[in-house]
Amino acid sequence: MKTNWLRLIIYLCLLIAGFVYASNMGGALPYLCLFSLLLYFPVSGIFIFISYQSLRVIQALPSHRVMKDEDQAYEITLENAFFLPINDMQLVPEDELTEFEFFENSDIIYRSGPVISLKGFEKITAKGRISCRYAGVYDVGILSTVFYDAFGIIGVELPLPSLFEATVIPRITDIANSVLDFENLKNSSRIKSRLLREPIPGNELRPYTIGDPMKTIHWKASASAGELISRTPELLDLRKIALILIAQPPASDKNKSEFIKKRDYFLEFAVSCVYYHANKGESIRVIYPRGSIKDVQISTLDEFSKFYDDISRGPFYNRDSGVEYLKEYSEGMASDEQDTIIIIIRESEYRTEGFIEVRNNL
Amino acid sequence: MKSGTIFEILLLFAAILGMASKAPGAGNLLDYLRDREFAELFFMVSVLLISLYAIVRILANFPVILRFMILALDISVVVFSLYGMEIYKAVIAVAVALSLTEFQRVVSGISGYPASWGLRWISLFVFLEIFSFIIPSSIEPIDWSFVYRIGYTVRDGFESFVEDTGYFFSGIGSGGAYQSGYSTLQNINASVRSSNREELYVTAVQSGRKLYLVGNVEGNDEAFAFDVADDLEGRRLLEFLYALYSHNVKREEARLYAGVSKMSVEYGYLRTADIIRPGELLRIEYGKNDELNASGTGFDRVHKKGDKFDLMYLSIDYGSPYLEKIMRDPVRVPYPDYEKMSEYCQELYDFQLDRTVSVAEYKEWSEKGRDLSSYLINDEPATDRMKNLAADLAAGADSDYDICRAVEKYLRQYKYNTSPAQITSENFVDGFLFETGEGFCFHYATAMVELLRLNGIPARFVQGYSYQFKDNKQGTKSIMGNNAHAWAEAYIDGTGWVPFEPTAGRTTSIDNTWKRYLPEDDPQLVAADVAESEKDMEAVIPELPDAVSEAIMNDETEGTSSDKLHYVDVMIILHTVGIVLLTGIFYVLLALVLIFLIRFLRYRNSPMERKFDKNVRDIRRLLSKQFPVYNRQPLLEDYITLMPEGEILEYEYLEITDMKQLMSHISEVYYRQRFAGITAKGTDVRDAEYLRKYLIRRALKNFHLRRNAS
Repeated sequence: MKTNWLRLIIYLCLLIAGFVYASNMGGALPYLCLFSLLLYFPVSGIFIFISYQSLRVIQALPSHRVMKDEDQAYEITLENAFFLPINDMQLVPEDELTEFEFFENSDIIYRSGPVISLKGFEKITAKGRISCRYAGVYDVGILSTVFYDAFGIIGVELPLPSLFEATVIPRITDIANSVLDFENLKNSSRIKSRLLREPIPGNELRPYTIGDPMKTIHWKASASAGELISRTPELLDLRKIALILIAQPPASDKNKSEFIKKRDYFLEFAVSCVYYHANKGESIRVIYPRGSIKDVQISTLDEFSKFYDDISRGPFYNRDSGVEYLKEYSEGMASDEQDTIIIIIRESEYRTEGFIEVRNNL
Repeated sequence: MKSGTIFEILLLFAAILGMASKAPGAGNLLDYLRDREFAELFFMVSVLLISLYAIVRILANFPVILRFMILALDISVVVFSLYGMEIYKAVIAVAVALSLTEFQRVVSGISGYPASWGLRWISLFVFLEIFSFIIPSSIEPIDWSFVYRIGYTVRDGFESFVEDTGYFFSGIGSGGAYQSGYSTLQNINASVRSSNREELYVTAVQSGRKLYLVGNVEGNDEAFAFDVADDLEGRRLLEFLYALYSHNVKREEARLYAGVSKMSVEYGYLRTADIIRPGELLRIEYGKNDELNASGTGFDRVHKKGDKFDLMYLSIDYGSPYLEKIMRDPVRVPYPDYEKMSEYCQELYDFQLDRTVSVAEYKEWSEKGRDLSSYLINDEPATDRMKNLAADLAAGADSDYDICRAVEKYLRQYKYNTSPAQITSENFVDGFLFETGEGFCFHYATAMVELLRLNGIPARFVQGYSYQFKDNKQGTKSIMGNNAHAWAEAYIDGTGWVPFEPTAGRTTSIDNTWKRYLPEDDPQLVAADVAESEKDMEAVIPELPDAVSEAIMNDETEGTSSDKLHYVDVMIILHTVGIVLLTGIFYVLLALVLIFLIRFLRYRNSPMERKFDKNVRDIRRLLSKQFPVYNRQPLLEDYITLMPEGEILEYEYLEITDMKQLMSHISEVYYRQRFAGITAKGTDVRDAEYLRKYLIRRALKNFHLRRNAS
């Protein structure tokens, strides 16, 4: 509800004057003036209701899945499906999470700008562009309309019945590597290993044991030794890396934009981290919520693209206790899995030290 | 051309046509058209349509002309309305719609919208005016008295409601005053709405008779307290007996116009310490709660619904021609002694005088002279025209009684109105008599008392109830709030206090006479005598003042006066609001107490498991206030993490005294009970109760600390 207080006060003064006039003089004129003043808001309310009911809004983007920070062609069609005009209406766009502008008919839209009026059965189309600034799933384009009364005293903001929900795909950047420096992480952990053998020369060969794959057999060494000698698996291959994504449950509508901003960084970090490994053909285990808790091993770009597609739709929990469960699960992993580097990313701790935690038990 | 503009022009034409049809020559034009041939008419209509089209084109291209025409229409509508000229309501509606459209165009321009958008709201204004047109309007201005009526109805409704249920509640702040129709009589400039609440129940049989029940005399003012106390002890009988005695009235005649009656009075929706009784009281059978106050003018404590007493009184027909004769012609003879008076009383009415008056009291009464000087002083100094009027009224009268009748008759010509015009004069009796000329019983009675006093006749203002018995059925009669009344009593030398009815619309004692005559008298002759004396009196009664008679004449011709202002009694509204608020608070408190009681009993009788559950629920609620966790469904553990270490609970038998540890223990027990089915033990419940208590105390302490800090 938007109120122009000055105009409301003038209206109330006129209403009082109407009462005084009708209290001192009888007849049709004083009563008609008074009734007109009294009925002004109810009749305006009916008009606004009819306008809202007869307004059809169709918004279109090329696809529901859009890339972050990429300009998308946007088109909106406003149609009045009733013979009465729709007057003094404003469109309220989502302009915090998206960059939004009109190319055509741009004079008709915007909060502070003038209002739109549609005659009976009139239809107008406006084209523009939208660039989504944050990854995640949210409504873009026009979110609601404000209908004003004839004298602009009050405006009633009503949500559009159908909104355009876009899935904004996070960008793959070097952000995770720049923060964590994976090579250093893995290399530095190697020295501290208590379980694995030291990588000293000669130590990379050992007598064949049942179960060693055929390709690991060092034929030259076997020939000289007279027994089957197999290569010890690469130490790096033995070491596992796991990424646990503890996403935040959705926030209330009031904090939605803040939530989307957090989610954007969280997703970008997650996909960058996984892509780094998948691109190098290294395996990474990812545990993330998508309804139930998913636990996937990703070592190829194909597997990555499946994950990318999945996580872009937004992580979520199918029960309230999901977050607690995932937290407990990550703690359990940290204590049980001795040969794994565990990277825990907590969305709720965005911009604090707790956002990334590396558990390295090696 | 834009459709909005064409619509506007057509509306304007319709309005002009509507106005023109009321013009003096319009009828002739129609007659003229009726006489034309078809071809002629066709030609005329064609020319008219072509000119209309041309005008529309011109106006559409020159909107300034259109706006001037709308302005001219508005001015003519206002002028027509102001001078009461005939005009169609639809024309006014069209004019208002067009004006609003143009006004909106101006506002739109201020807001920076294109000028071409100006007419987009015309459909809204047309709808608005259709709705406004449908609602019937009145030729009278708004009558705001309905606000007062609503207030009164609400107050009545709530009082009944409150008194029916929490009866003791309504007496707050006004123990000695009537709360119904009676109390509003206190304000001369207020309107009075009759109340249909039952205020009294009387059990008596008096077919066709009118009963005056006295509540208080001059507000039981101290200056009159002695006489009122005397009345309550039944001394008024002595004056009446003396009047009969002095005229040597025999039993046969005395019983024509007076008799001893019994009555029981029960208080209904009334709250007062006043003793409501007939004026000519003989004795009251007081109950144990009916102790009198120090001055003897009323009960010591306020009487409420259900309080009841029996009484005996002398029912007197003051309109009887025999009694009138006595009143007109006072005779002074020495007072008889007690025995003689007692015998006389017994002879006349079979009533033993000693039931009311003792020897000593009779002696005191007969020897003491009556000091009536207090009844001769008016509250405010009389104006000259009041004095002149009083003198005029007394001019043609032979006795005090005749003056009283003349004043009564004179005042009864004034207009009875429960919403009288406001009196602006300093002396409100003067205002009533010479300016407004309308009022209700309060105005009439006050005016009569003052006019009598100006003539040197002791008079007093009496408040109470007047009730007309319609049948002679046995049983209890309900006296309503709208029976509350005020009248005047005059002291007729030799007879005592006699009630008069100056209020127009109420019957006088003459109208209500019992019509009993001695066998030797011909009723018709007596009636003719009475009629003649009435006629004689009418001849000497002065005319009403011009202003008053004009006002009454205007009212009669116009129905109701149009410039009458209506007043709202602010006190009544405040009183109502007060009662509504108090009642609301009372019921909320009552509901809270009940809820608390039910919860307490349910808790006490529930098994350990439920008791523990309830405590944990309460603890969770208290914790959520004191240790807010920003999670959708916080777990007990979340609170525990936030709890500070080392807060010690000091309760008996408590093993774990640290708050955090105790909470951990309770949470364990809770989860065990919930998921493992191991029910909490008595000690666990006790621990939870302790923690709950501690958390409540902690919350209160924090609240105090915060308040002190702020």
